Amino acid sequence: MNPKPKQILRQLDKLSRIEPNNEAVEQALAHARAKLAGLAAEHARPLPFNRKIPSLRSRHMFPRVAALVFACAAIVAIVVLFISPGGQSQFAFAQVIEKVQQTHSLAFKTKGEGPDGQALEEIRILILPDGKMRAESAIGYSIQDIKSHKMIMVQKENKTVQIFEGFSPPAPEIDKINVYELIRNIRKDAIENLPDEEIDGRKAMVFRVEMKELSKIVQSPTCKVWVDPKTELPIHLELIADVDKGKQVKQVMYDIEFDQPIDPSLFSFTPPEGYTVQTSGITNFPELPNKPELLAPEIIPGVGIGPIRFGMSREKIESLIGKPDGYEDNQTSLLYYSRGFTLSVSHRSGLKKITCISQMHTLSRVRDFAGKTKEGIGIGSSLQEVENVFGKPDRDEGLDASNNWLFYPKLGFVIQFVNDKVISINMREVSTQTEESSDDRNDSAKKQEPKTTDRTLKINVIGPDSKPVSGVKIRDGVWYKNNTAKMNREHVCDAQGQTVIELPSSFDTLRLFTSCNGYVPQFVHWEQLDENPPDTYTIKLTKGTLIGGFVKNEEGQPIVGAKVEVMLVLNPGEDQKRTCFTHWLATEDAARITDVNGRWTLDNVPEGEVKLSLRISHPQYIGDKSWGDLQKEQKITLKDLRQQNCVIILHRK
Amino acid sequence: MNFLPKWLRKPSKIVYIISFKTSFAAGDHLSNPSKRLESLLEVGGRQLYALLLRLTLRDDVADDLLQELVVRLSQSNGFQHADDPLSYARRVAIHLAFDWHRRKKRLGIVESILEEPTATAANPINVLIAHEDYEQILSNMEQLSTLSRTCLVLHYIEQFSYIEIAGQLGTTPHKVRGLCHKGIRRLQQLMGISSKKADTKGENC
Repeated sequence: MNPKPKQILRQLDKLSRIEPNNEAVEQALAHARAKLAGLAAEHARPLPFNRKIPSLRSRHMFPRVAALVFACAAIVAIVVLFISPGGQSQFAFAQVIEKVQQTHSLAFKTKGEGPDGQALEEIRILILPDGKMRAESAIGYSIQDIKSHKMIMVQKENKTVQIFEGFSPPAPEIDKINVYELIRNIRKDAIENLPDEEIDGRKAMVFRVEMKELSKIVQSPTCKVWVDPKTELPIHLELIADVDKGKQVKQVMYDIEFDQPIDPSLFSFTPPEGYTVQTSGITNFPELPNKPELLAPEIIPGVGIGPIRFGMSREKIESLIGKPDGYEDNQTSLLYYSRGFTLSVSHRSGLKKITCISQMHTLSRVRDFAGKTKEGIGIGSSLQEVENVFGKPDRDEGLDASNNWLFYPKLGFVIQFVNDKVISINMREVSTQTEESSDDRNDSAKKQEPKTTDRTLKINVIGPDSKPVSGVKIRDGVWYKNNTAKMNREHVCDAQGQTVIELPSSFDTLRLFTSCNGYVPQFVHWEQLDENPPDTYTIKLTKGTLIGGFVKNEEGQPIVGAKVEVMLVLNPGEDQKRTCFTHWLATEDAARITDVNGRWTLDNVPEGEVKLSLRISHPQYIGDKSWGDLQKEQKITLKDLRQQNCVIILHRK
Repeated sequence: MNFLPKWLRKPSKIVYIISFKTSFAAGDHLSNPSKRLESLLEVGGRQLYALLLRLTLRDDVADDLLQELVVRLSQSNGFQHADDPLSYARRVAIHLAFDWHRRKKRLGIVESILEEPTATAANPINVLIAHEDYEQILSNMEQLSTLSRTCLVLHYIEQFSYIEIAGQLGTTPHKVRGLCHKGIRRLQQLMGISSKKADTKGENC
């Protein structure tokens, strides 16, 4: 025989009362802290070059780690162009270009130091004349070929190979920026001769180059270059820059060698035998659809993009916007790289996440997402534009001022910025607590509602004296399978205390909430259709009791218009019964508002020992951040509330 | 012949600056989890240990799992960016505890529960029975869906309200209520099945 829910709840309740003894807690915490100290020491070790960067939460960002090697090469390349033959701090472009063109390969090692002085892993980089680049570290290697848009990352430790098809560097302006223009625009005083120094046992000319072009991102970037007077090429290079909060980062390039013989087999894209191969990215983009709404779908916060809506199945999405360019993650990620977005679709709950991306966001080849919100926010919008439309974010995080994320949970947005421009928009569905406020969501819910009314439920409402109570409002909540959609309607009982609720042919959960002045609001429910609702159901209301109090400021003056919300804290398991009191005694629209005397009252509180939680708010005063904060702080008891003379003090903002 | 790839000959400053900064800043972020974890242990260490104890019923296991929790969180990107690190840690702790139950079942770990009852003032037999009941309920909870199990633990064992749980899980109180209800019903079925099995075994004996 199945145990009764009450028995299970009793056992769970007993479990909740298990309290550890202080000695054991202290001991466990000491062990945990020791473990943490060990981990911190481990973190101080070099950073593997292909470890996921913690801040890069999106899988699209993963390949960006590999861009480090490009960074190093780019710096060397620029320095080569900066330093003119003979060590003169003048530019002789023709000679420089000629010099560079004479070389056939480049190899160097690089290592860095993070802002907290932690060493980053040493990487050896090899570059071939055809543009192929190989980066080697202790844990593996990566090869990139910009011509064939391909990259391979080989990790020895777990024997995995990742191949990125359609590999592209995140540079939307790649064709617009010309390094020669860049050099021409550099002031002559940007290069400073320093006294000669000995480095790695060799005498070298030393230059300090002011990297003005980096100064938009990092503060005071300077590059110190050691040049071999014989070859007139750099042999050692140090790049130092300030990052946030006065911290400095350093990148050193050393053992720089030009024209050293390099084995071409080192640049093979054939995965080593016995390794697990994962391939991602798209080699060739398919033809784009003709319809503008598919090419530049409108971003509708919390709802979807263009014709796509959260909760839609993969099949439905594909029927609306066509097949994706590719799939990932067991076909739960639909890649529309040619249109600049990806979709995460759960087999059970449908579309869960939309990521609108740009080339800056990823090393996989993508077209920048062309859609915008109705206010015109999209890829490339500035931070100011976003804040003008959506307001200040609830939270922002970032590596620094130039690379950050803004969080708008109420809109279901996480927007990523680089250099003050939006480079990606992550969208999730916005769930609402009670009634759906969004028309679009209601529309989508209605679409999923069964249209036929199969049956009715007649409700009789009676008072404690068993006489019918008229005017009782009953709000229903009908939920469909997997909570995918619901409908809320309000009914009012007639003079006989009766109302009829129409029910659809199939649903999952039915919840009824009553509200009537002077009576405790009641909750009746049939969850996951554990039992079919009867044709007639009688709700017996309980008379409510009065509570109240005053809201005043620090000077003791009444605050008019303060919103007082009251919640009844039910014991766990109490609402497992078919009917019980609701939590919501006075919330949202039913909240109490203080009068000219700062007074408020509420007449629907159950009698006896109950636990109440208050939430006070006023636009000009600091209210409760969460339920019961001020109540606890100012030690307001149930007795005080019942006597209706308690005073809650609010402080000005 | 030019040895540089085309895009390096015309490099976007953005390309290398971003990658350069990203790589460095990674180091900075790696140092942050430690600070986050330190304050987590300071603020919520006791709660987390208590939760692990309630879910494993063993001091030594709770101790081990708290250390494992620290390791997991130090590697977790989600923790690093969590709005509420304690809620995040609590969810990971729940997963760890039920993973331990699963492992225990698979490996057939024998508990030294016989030693525990003698330390209490209550009747050792009653304590043993209670312990078995708890074991049964926890073992069956392991078979629930992750979300349903998390809701049950947070509501019935950690005594959070639906609203608080909804806030922690980023869902609505209504959905939490539904999940709790469904979880209890499922648990009821599972316990019915396991008690039947136990009865049958008894008969066979």
